[in-house]
Amino acid sequence: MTTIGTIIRLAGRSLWNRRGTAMLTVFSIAVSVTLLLGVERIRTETRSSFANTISGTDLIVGARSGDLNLLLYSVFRIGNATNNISWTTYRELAQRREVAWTIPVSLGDSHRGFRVMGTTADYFRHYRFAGDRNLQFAAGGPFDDLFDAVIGADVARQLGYVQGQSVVIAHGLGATSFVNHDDKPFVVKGILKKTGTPVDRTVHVSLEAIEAIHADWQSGARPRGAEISAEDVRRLELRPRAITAFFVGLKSRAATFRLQRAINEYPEEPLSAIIPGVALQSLWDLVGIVEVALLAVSAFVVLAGLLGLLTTILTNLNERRREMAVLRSVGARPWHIFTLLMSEAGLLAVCGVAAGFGLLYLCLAIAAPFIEHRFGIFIALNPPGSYDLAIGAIVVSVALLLGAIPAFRAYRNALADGLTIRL
Amino acid sequence: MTSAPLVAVRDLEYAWQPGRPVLSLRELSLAPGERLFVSGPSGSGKSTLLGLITGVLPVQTGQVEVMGHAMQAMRSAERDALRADHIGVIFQVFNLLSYLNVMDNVTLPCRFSAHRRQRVLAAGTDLATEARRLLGRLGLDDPDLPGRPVTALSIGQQQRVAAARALLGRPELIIADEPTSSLDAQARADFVDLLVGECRAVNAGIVFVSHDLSLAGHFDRQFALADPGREKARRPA
Repeated sequence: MTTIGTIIRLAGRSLWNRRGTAMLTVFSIAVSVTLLLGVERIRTETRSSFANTISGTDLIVGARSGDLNLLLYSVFRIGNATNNISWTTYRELAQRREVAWTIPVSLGDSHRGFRVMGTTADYFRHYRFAGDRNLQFAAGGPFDDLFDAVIGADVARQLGYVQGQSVVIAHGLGATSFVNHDDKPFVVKGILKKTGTPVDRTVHVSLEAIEAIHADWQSGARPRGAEISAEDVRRLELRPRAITAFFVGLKSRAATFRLQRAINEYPEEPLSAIIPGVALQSLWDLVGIVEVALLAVSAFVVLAGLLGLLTTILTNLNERRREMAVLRSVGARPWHIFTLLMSEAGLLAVCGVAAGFGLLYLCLAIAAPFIEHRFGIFIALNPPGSYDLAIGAIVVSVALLLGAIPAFRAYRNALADGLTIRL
Repeated sequence: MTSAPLVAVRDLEYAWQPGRPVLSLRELSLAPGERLFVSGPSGSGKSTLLGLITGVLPVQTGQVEVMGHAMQAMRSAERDALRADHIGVIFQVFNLLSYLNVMDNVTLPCRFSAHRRQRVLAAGTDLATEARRLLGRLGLDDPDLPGRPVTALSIGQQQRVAAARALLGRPELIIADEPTSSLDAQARADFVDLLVGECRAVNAGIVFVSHDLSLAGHFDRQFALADPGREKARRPA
């Protein structure tokens, strides 16, 4: 074994001998590194998740509201619409000559905590995500019958649903609802492949089906004695009266701003048209300040952890002067003593960073399903990227830099003490 | 026949603070294999003298030669290398690293000195075997002892482990700085007997510092350090 190998081994044995304080130091570094990496991981994964959710859509149109609100409720199923759009308005706008396709969506109901979205078959033809990927079926296909439902991959997995499964839609958005459309159950016709977007957590039905389940409802409730059975409702004209929003694909991107202005100034009804990418950018601008603040706080927590390391080594330094004298007596040079202390700082930091990575993945594994369920944001458990590794390297480097302080003091003590300790 | 001295000190003076020497020594020498007992009151510069001979402290004034090497002309790294290769040191107490077991403590010098390691290997053995042999020679022949933590040993056992460490690799010079002060009278005499006997067996010179003049009879020669600037040497009667 080389002398450096001997020194590093001695540093490891010395730390193990003081494993109580050493482990506390490692733990404090680990927690701080986990926090720093966790903030960054959630930031990048959230951005990636949001950016991958919708593509190829030129405009999203909803009732007059803020851009972000419209984006969040229509695409990410976060929050609620302020109002609806009349079917007449939708049809009029959809028939404009610059429009290539539209996807109407109607939100407001749920199934066991998952959002129910009324739409048309165009949704499965035109909706794009993660670049230019379209929706694909893992089983079955789009709805044919009035009471057919198409469920996302997570709905199927979490609820254990298969094709042919009966599904009862609840009125409203609560995870537990006491008002169910149980007189008009749906049947699972298709199951979509995993997309990594809120689509996975959505139950899709036709717009006509949304009208059908609310056909006997008045003012948000079903009057006693006025119920319409599932068979009888099929005989009604189920033309939607209103929708929540609609996605627009244009024949030419050049028409985007012109149509957006026309919709925003639409005289018959107050509407908002947003460009998804622009709205997403304004979201990042908004949360960017918070992100920077969180990163700064995390960085200071890491610094606090490293100062704990410095304190641990410095506190023990005086008690260890005899140890240094023994090492000097067997031939250790002052720079060996310096290296010993630096190795201890390095080992503590490396163990802290490694434990921090482990803790990060443990926390992500535990929190990812909750975040996905609660916010529809998918946190992938990817291996550490170059940013993560750079953070780890920086933490170890700063630890070594701080470790140089007690190392230099030990070096000077070793020179002054010789074989006896001169306090 | 005369041989070159193992240690030769001339006109040596050392001060921790300018103008206040703690050690002033006109002449001292140690022949190869010679066993020297150094005594003196507290503050007479005994530990400082050992620091200068081992090369841990730089020579300020005068000359210190160890095995023909002029310490005052050597760089710090060269003195460190000389100490690692040719000098074994035993302290008063806390000789051992508490986080290493007995075997690792004994073999520690050979981790810093290729020369001492080579000497062990050249004798046709390995570090562990030689360490066990030395421990056995010093009365520590329990086969489980090398694997034990040093904190499980008595003070007397720890001092013998320190002696084995100092002797591993057959250094030419052993420096012992009051190694018996924490032992009782019987253990003290036993330890010195073992140490001197083992030094004699390998023909190592020894500089043994102690307050306890009753131990002087175990050595070839006694040297008394008095106040700075005065020293006297005398042969045992």
